[in-house]
Amino acid sequence: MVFSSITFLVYFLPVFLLGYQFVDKKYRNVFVLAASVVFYSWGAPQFVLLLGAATVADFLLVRKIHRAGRAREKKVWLVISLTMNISLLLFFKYANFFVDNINAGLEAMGIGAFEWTRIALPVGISFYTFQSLTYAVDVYRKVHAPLNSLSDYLLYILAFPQMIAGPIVRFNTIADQITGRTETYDERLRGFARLATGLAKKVLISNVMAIQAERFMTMPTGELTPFMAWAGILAYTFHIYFDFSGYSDMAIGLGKMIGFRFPENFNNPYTSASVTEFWRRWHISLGQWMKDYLYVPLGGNRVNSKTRMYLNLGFVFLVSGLWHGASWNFVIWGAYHGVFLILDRIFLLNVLNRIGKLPSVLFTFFVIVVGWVFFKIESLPHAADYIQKMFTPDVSGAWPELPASFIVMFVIAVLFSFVTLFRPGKYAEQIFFSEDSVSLKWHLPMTAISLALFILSLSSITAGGFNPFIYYRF
Amino acid sequence: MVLAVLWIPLIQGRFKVIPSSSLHGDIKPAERVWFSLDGWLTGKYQEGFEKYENEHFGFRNMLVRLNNQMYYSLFGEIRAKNVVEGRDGYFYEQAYIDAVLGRDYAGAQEISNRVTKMKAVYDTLHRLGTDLVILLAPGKGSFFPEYFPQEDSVRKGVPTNYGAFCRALDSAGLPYLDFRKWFLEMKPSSKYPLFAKAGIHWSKYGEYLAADSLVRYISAIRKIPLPPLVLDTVIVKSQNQNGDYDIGEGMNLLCRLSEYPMGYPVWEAGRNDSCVQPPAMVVSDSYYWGLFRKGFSSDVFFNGKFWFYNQLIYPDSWFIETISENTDVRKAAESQDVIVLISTDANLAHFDWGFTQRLYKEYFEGFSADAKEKKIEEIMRSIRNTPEWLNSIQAESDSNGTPLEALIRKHAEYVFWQQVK
Repeated sequence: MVFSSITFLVYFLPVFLLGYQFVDKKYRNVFVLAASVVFYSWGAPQFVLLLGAATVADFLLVRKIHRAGRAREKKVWLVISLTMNISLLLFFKYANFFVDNINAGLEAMGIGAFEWTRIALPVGISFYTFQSLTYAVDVYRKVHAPLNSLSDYLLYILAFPQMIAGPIVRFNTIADQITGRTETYDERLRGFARLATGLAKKVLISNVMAIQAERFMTMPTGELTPFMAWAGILAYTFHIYFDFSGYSDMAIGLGKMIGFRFPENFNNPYTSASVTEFWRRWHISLGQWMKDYLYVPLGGNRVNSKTRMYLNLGFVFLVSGLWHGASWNFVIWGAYHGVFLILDRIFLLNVLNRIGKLPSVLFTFFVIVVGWVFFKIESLPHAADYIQKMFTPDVSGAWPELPASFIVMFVIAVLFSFVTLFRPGKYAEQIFFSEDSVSLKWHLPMTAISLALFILSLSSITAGGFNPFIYYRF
Repeated sequence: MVLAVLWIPLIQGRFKVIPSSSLHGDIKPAERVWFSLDGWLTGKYQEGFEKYENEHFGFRNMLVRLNNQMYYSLFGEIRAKNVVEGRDGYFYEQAYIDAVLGRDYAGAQEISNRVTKMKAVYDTLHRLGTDLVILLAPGKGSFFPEYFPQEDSVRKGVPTNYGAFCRALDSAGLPYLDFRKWFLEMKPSSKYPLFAKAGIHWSKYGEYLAADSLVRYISAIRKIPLPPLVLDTVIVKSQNQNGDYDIGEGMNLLCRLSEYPMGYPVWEAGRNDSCVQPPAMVVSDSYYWGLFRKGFSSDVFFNGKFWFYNQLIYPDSWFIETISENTDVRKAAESQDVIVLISTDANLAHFDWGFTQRLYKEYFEGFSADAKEKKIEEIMRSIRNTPEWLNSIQAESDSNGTPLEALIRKHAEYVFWQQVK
């Protein structure tokens, strides 16, 4: 089940919210857990038992970590827990990738490929694994005591608002909310506003961008003109941002409606003045996870040599790239960002600071846009051809015919992506995202706008596949 | 309040508190699915549920119209396949523009070959007492080229299927009714519009004129008095209906498109003792639907059938899908006094959808009637001697009540025609 579906918005959500409202407070966690199991098993029924079993096993292992007397014993249980979680991820997400590469090597050597039944990927496993890892490590580091109740732990891992696509919620940020949270009307309304905004970002903006991105980025490069190549990648740039940030908004909004405060996951990433800054604004929960659980344990910035630091950075971003997908193009994308992070530390940040904010933002945006080519196009030769087409100096090529709906939404996407560079935009953002309680006078228009966005999004979703001929054709 | 609003679609979907109008178009509704453990585990139940509920939740149709209206009003984009907006609020299906601009041109040689076979079949049928009437219906595009979109300007001298058919029919000496030319001649002086702004087909008034002329023509060539079409009155309505607004309906908008008043003739086939209703069939595109639904084939002809695009036979297909390919076309043709072939210019590229081609094969390319009958009987014997095949036909007979022998014959004829192909 996805948030932007009729099944979720018209059936699951109203029933869930009504049930949550009326169920006794002491059973609310169980209710959310039950709803989460239904939510997950709707899309992946064959994996829910597996994940449930792995989560139960992890709960018991982490209790062992907490109760172990000696440091060595703690470490052993931690290693077991980490191994189990990482093995699950490696098997389900990367086994096919490894086998494909091994077979490619065997075939190159003239030896036949071996037979392999492809493994299906359980949805959300990347987020599930990282969340499980934070729980084990935070308990080991004594950042927070483990949960006493298995059902509370299952709730932390499987809660449907963030299980499928994040944000990655660190255990210590949410531990107290699991056992003791309250929801005010103010937060419920804000939550709904956030949900509606996220839904609109995904359905009204991102989906429109996706059509043109798909159109141009799957076109044979022989038919592409430079204008088309740029139109395609710019469409993709805004498609991926509004899709991902929209989904995060929905997750945060849903969490708010039931008293959870999930961390922010996006902070106007395209207004970044450097790639370093970009990774503090894009998929923030992943960036922080990588920093706290991978980069820092490798030594972080406190290593003896700069070379070692750069290697650590490069390694972290290779892993980050691979986390996004089991394919070499994601590795290249991660490496591409790693290179720029290293360059930032060597000299680029100084240069960008000197040239001023706007040129830095434009330069960084340009770097990010080019990087998205590798993220989107799986075939490396095709990606290379596409980039070459983008930089071919040929203004005689055909300007693509673009529907008016795309042009308007593109302008809106640009506006919303960059508006916080300017004072009025920053002010509007502060009002919308403020955590201070606001009056009914503010809530009324906000809720009305949210409902309007919700209805428009619903109409777009249901009409999305409806485009019939007037009469049957033979 | 927000929770209450979220529940509205669910309640409306279950209890239908507020009536809603259906959406229009060639829509294949999703089938309802029922829960099963196997369906759940394979994901088939969820997929079926989502497809079905996406079409049936409360206010769904209104939301589709809202989306379509937004796209049309804000962006000028139409959410109906192949619909094009011309100037001044005139709408077309793309095929009708393409026909005028020659984009679907089948080629002079191809058309000439077809007409040659049509002539051969015409002559053969005529000798057997059956008249073949070819009627070239007007098209929205050829009637209103002045409102084409800017980028589709009409250029003189471009070869079109209509032009090629006229030349070929004239050259072959085949008589035909050129209603396209006639409608254009009537256009400046017609009392009521002959085409609507947001309709695909000729108007109800235009259809009446065409029907009346067809009846007079058949009466003249057969020298028999067909039931005349008696016009009672013409009611003028400002809101277009009955097919005059089918493009508008197909766009599924919240607001109606601009339209001008249309004339709706109230007529019926007159009856008296001297009238003769000849057995007749019509092979046509959708331009004949209006007349067929009005009862033209039953009131003017005797037991008239409508072979829609030479694919499905009506009214039979309203009860059981009856495919023309499985029918003995020669027998069907020779049992008529009149066969009418109708096409608008947008469909001339494939006119007459293989109908005269099949007859030509019958008459000129093998299979005598005896040889065919022998072959069919052979296949019927084979069916009777194959238990599995016979049992499946028996099950079909039990379920729809058709006599077993008739069904065996039908299946044998189908196999025969498949082998002939």
